[in-house]
Amino acid sequence: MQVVGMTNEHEVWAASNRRKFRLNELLIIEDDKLGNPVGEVIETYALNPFIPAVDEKSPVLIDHEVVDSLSRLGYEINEEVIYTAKIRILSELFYPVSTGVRVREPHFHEVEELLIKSNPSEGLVLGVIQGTEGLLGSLPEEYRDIAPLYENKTGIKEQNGVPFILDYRAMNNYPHIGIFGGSGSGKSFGLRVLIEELIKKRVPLLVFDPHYEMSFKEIFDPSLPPHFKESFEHRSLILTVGSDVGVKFETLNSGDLCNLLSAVSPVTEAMENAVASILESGDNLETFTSRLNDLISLLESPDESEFKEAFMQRRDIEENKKAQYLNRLSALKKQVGQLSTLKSINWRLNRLIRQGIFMEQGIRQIEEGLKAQKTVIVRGSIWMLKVYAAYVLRSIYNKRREYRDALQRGQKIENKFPPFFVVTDEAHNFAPRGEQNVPSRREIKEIAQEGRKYGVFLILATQRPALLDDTVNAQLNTKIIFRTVRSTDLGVIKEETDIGSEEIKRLPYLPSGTGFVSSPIFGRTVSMRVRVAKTRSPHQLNPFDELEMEDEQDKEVMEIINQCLPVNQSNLIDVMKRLENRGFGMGESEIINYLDKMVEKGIVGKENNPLLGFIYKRNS
Amino acid sequence: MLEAHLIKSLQDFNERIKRNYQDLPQADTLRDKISLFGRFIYCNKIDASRIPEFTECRPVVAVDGSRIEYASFFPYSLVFMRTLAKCTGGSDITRSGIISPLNLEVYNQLEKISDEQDISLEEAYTLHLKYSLAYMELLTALEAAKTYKPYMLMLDGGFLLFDRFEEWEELRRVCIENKIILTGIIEEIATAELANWLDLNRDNRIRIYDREVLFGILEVGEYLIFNSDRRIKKDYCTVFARLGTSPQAIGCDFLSEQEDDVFKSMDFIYTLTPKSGQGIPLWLQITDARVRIKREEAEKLVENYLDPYVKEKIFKANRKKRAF
Repeated sequence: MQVVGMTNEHEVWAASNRRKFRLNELLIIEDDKLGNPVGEVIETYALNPFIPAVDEKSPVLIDHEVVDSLSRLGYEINEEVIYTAKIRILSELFYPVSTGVRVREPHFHEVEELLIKSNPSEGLVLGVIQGTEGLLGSLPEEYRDIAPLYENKTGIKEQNGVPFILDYRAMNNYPHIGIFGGSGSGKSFGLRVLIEELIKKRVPLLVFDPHYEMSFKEIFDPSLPPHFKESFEHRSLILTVGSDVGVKFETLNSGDLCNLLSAVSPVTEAMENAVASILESGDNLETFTSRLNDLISLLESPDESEFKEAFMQRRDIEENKKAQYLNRLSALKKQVGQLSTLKSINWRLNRLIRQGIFMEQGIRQIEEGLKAQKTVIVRGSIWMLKVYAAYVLRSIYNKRREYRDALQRGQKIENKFPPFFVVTDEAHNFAPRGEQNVPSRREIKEIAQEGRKYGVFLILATQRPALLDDTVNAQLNTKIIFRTVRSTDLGVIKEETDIGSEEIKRLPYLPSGTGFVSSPIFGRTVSMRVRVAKTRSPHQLNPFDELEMEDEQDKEVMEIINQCLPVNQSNLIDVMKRLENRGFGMGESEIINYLDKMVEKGIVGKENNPLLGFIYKRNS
Repeated sequence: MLEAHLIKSLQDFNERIKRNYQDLPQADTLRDKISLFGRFIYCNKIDASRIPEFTECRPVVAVDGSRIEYASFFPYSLVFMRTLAKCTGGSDITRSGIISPLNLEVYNQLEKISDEQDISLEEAYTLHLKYSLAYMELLTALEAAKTYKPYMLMLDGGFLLFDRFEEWEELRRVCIENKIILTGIIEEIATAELANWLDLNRDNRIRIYDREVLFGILEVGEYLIFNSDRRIKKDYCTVFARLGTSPQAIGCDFLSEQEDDVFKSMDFIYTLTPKSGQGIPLWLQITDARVRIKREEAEKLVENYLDPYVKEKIFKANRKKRAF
């Protein structure tokens, strides 16, 4: 291999007539005067001058008979291939590389600095750096067998290169991670691996899980190597909004409450004003709803004095407070006045109540989980999570901030709160770009901008980076980018990362599970194949497989029918009775459907009979 | 106005050329007439699996040369030459060198040629270059013949180019002794013998050459071999053949001592020739591509190894400095 053609100080072309170049591999350019710089292969080509491309200048295809004859004479035309590669130099040079110098494969220790930024016990082992297959021979023991891979067809595969280890401690300087990629690109898989690694390091994680897929209990595959097998059930906690966690009404201010209401349906300014007027400090859900309902009754009653009369009859209010309360209602009536506004608030509130979001214990379990350095997974529908995340984040981010500020001021520390990561998929829903008012955006933006100070970090995954808030996007120092096809997304990636145009061109065609990592922590863009996950999502069953599967009930029905064979029009009624006795109430056509299914499977044969119409018989 | 005049001239020229060839006999008639001196024979492709048996497991060698001139004008000229013998299944044998009239020895030689042949120095230089390259090719061929003792040794060009040198005799001897079939493949036929035999040349028209006679009268895979008493040049056995789709024939020279081997040799050459194209064996094409010196290559060499002073003073033509 040698450098050919015109060179400059950051790119060279290399050619070889024996060795193929591999995309992303590192090579040493033996230019003594420049200190033998290392380069990365960014484009590869092969050319056989004797098998030229067919065009109007040379419209001739090579004659295979002639080639075959030459081969018998000892000449292989295929060996005339010239391999060339464009190599990007990874260090800063001030002079161009000399043309003609030799290029060779490196030994691991010569490129270690470029490939390994942290050791496996201190960093996150996310996968294998692409193009490092050649270094496997000289790879030290500690970096071996820590990142097995997975191929869809062949299953689990041995680690085939240098592991990619992310130094997560460096996030103190370069905070936040973005994971981008379309559906099927391996984005969710990558997110899972990243979370697994953080769980292993006992980093408290708060995961918002709109897809109900974040569970770290089930082992990915029984054939995983024993030393690699691990489940994180005991280190993670799955909570569902509305049943395990919710909102403690007492902690809400009117803004929070409006945000919650807006999760059901957008809230008008009039409604916001009304909520602000009606909500009193110290309100609980009950006091607030009764005040709201009383106000509605007051506005609905045709005659105020009638209402007052009825009101004074009520027993649920202490006598001495009745007058004061009535005055308050009258005042509110003047302030709010619009019955429709109040009714709108009321139906939104009722919907939230039915969802079970208001609960006494609020976010206690989340806080406790994080304090215990666990991974807390919060599940809920996306519309609910958007609002709930805002509420939770504000609350716990404040706690962490207060703790850190107190620490800094040297004050007495009462509520210790640990640093933590916030993780979410579909992040463009939580912090969308543009004008629309999404409650969680403010919190995420704030964490993006100043979370680092307090040890709060974001991991945001999305398939639409172009829809993610610009400020948030710009703060994601480390970006892992999987296959992306949309041009708008590619545009954003181009702007927001140091990924070169060669890599951008490859993005739409990346195989699932392969991505580029652009990070100041690593110093350059690296192509990575994500390692196999240790655990798997609970619903990985393909819906089409599901269609082909038989359930227990089908089996039992078929068994009963099987006993009644042969079946024809005249004895169909018996089959029906038998089935009914066993608890399967079925009509004629349903039974026929089952019989036809059995015919398809070859268990049963169907004959047409002139007298009986049809006969289903057991196949001999 | 100028263009109109040019177009008219071109049209006249076209008419005149057409007229010149107008009364040439038709292809069939020509073939009949040619049959008096020789035979038309079809080649057979040899099946690839039979090749090792056919050649007794010996390789094939093709020899070719290339030259490129780096010059402003005579005598400010520097010529790079390179020859290559490429052997199937063996390593390459190459020779190379430079020639320039600025070299006193060369200059003296040119003066000698010029005096002997009564031509200008510049014409003498052209001839000298041609023969120097041929000589270098001959030496390369000789070395390859001795080294590999191939089944066939292909030269690029007819034997007349090489047989003026002493070493030709040696090459001939080595080939005959070792049963190496020696052939010279001629891409551009330049003889006029056949036309003369056919009595096609008349006083009042421009000369007819063999290539015009042979154009389009051969089928693909067909060749024309002459009776032993008819020689196109000297005592060589010359064959005209059409081995590819191009209607233009090529020539193959063989030694008269190897005349009996011509039939199987033609089958072999045909087997090594791609169907489409100008009908030259692929091995010779590959050798030609490998030996070719590229202009950029020559310029790089000059830039790297000649002092800028020398380069500017001697080889930079003033006209290259024109602004437009």
